[in-house]
Amino acid sequence: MSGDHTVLLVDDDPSFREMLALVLESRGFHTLLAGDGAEALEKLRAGPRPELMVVDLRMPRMNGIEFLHALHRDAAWRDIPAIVMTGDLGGTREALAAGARACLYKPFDPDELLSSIREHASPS
Amino acid sequence: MDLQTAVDGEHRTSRILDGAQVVVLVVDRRDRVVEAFGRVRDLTGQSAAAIVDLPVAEILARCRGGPVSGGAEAGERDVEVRWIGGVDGETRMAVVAIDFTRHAEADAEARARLRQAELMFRQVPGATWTTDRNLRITQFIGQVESRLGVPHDRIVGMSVREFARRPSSEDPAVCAHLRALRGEPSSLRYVLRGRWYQVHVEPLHDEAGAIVGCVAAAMDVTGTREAERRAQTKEAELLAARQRTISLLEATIESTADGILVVDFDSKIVAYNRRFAALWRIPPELLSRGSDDELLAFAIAQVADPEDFLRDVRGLYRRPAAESLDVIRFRDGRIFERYSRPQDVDGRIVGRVWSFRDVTERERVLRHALLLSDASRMVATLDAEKALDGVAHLLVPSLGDGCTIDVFAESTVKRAVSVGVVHAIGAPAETAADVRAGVSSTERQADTVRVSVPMTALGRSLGAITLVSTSRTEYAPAEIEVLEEIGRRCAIVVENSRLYRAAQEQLRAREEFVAVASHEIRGPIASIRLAVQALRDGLAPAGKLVDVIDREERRLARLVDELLDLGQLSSGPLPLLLEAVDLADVVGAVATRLAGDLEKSGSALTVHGEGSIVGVWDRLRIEQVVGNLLVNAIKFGLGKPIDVRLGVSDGRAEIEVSDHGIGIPTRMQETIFDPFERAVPERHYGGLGLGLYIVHAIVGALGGTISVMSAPGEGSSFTVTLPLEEGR
Repeated sequence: MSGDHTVLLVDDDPSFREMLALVLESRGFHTLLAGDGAEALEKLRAGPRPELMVVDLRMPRMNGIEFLHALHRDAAWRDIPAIVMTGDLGGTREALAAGARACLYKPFDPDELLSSIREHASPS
Repeated sequence: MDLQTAVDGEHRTSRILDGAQVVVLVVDRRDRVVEAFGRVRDLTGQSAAAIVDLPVAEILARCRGGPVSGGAEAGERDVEVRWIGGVDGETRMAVVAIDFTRHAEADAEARARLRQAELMFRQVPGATWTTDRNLRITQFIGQVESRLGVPHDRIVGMSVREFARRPSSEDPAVCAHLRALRGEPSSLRYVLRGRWYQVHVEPLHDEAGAIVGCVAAAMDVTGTREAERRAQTKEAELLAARQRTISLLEATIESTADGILVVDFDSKIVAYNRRFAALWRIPPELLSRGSDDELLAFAIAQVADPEDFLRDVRGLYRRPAAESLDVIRFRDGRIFERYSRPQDVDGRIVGRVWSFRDVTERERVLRHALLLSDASRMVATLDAEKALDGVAHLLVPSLGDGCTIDVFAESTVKRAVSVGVVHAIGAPAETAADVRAGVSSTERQADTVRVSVPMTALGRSLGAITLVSTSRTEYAPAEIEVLEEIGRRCAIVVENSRLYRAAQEQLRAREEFVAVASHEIRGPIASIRLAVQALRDGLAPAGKLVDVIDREERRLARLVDELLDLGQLSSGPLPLLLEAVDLADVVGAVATRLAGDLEKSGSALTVHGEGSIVGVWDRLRIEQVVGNLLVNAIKFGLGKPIDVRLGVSDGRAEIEVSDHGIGIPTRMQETIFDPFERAVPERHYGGLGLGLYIVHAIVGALGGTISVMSAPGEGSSFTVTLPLEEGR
């Protein structure tokens, strides 16, 4: 899995978002970046359609759970697999219930994320 | 016959005669004694020889007259004389036989009988006597000395009249004797010398049938009479005891708090006590008419359910032996306990006893106790709404037709519960002022009565319970007391619920804080880890990656400082390092430090106020205050301009930091300076949310003040004042 695979990264921490994009792009992913759920929805509508999303749970405006619910309401985005990230233990169960495929706890190694992405990315 | 034979015969004859009570006298023609044989000396007192030649008549007289020998009894003797003709014609013989034996035996027997009779009469407790026509006692047998005090030998010849207790013409004993003389027998009881006698007097007839006197008998009946009297006394005592028992029973029945009615099987009233009449409020004239039907009608008119009442009564009359205990409710609210049991006499049921007790007060106390108990159970929860709803449903219908419960907030009233007919109760805001002040109030309107009681806890009125009744005319003081107690218990649940909610909220805020702190700390660490990986893999220029690591490391350090401040603040006052500080310098330094963030946010910062403002403060802490306020302004300022104004007013330095961002909702403005409070808790805006809490604590420690003015969507303006002089 590499080359033209696109991943949407949603996190309010610009430094983290930037580092994550750096690591993924070095492995051949295209990245789309959003600072919160609302911005992520805008990016989705603007296209291109990502194969997978990596979403932080704790964000301003629209948090990770709300974003997952919003995705679920829209048939166009419902099938895009999402991996959520959190810095505390709260919200993971809710996130999985809202459709997240996996949950990663910050801080994590890049390989951890990459294997999870490989596992859950929709087959192309 | 030869001489010897003759002599022998004479001796034999002489011996025979000596053995018999016989004297043989041989008398000559001159009637003088020639010879004497036999027991001459016993008869004549002289020897046979001595009486020879004495005239026979003299000897015979002696025989008859006695005493013949010493020791013999005096008096005439029964002497039999038989003459026998002489053998030779010259003499004749007088054979004198004296029957000593017969005489003595008869005499002894008679005396013995007499003695026996006397003994007998002496022992018989009585006497018998005869009198002549002058009532002189002619014969008397019986106890004399011991009973009459008269010697035995003097009684005969005394007059009956001498024993009379009264003038003899009036004495009943004398009268009885006089009646006997007229031929009428009579009996009487007579007291003599302390003894009672039953006396019977009859006429005494001679052989010709003429009344010659009286014959009477008296028997001492003192013992019998005493037994009789004892029996009478006993009977009187029993009677008295029975009367005492009856009066005790009557007094008991009259003094009991129960109304008692006794009715026979024809439903006729047999007995009742005054309490019965009083309980049933039966007028005296109705009672005096004694009409059972009228009384029943009068009673039935008072009870709440006459048909039920009658059915119970009839049911019991069909089962005469049954007992029953039930309760009668009256139209006017009174409650009687009715106990009924059969009335039996010697095991035979003859009627029914009804006993009525006014238990209105007891029932009321019981009902109120139950109400309080139920209410207490309902308020044993932290869910105030549910508790108040339960209480309202308890009060309706037991104490009213409608109920509302209002809860007072700071300046508003919220109607928590509304049950039943509440149209007569005003709006929540109309809750009477005195109830708010903690005093109950009642109000009567056309067809309703309303009572409001406060719900007070710790001296504060937290709400009001209002009850309205359309059927009653008033609320009794006892009922209001119960309501007030229920009010107090409701207040406790309201207060507890508030405290619980506050505690829960605090707990939730702490948990949220821990989660946020965890997230905030893990964020920079995650970034650093990725940057280090990128550095190793040479994914980006090293300088850029080191900048990221440096920025994230400082972010971590700030978080740790805030956490340390939080620990410091919760353990005591903030330590200060006081020195002369120029506010303008501080604002300039902070603005420089945050220049990068400002630029990123797009907000332009303008500092108003020229010249230095110097006070004695803690430099680093003042930097922290200004820095936190500016960071907030950048974070929530939506990229719009930010203004900082510096000035001096009334000897105090003033710093105002204003933005034009999202603003703070009014309800949050009071709590934004509390720890773990954030105006936008549901949204994550980064940071621990401790900034304003720490600012508030620093300003307070320096003797200053902080306030906020904000309108959602228009921005916020924080104003800090600090004393210029060290005089805090």
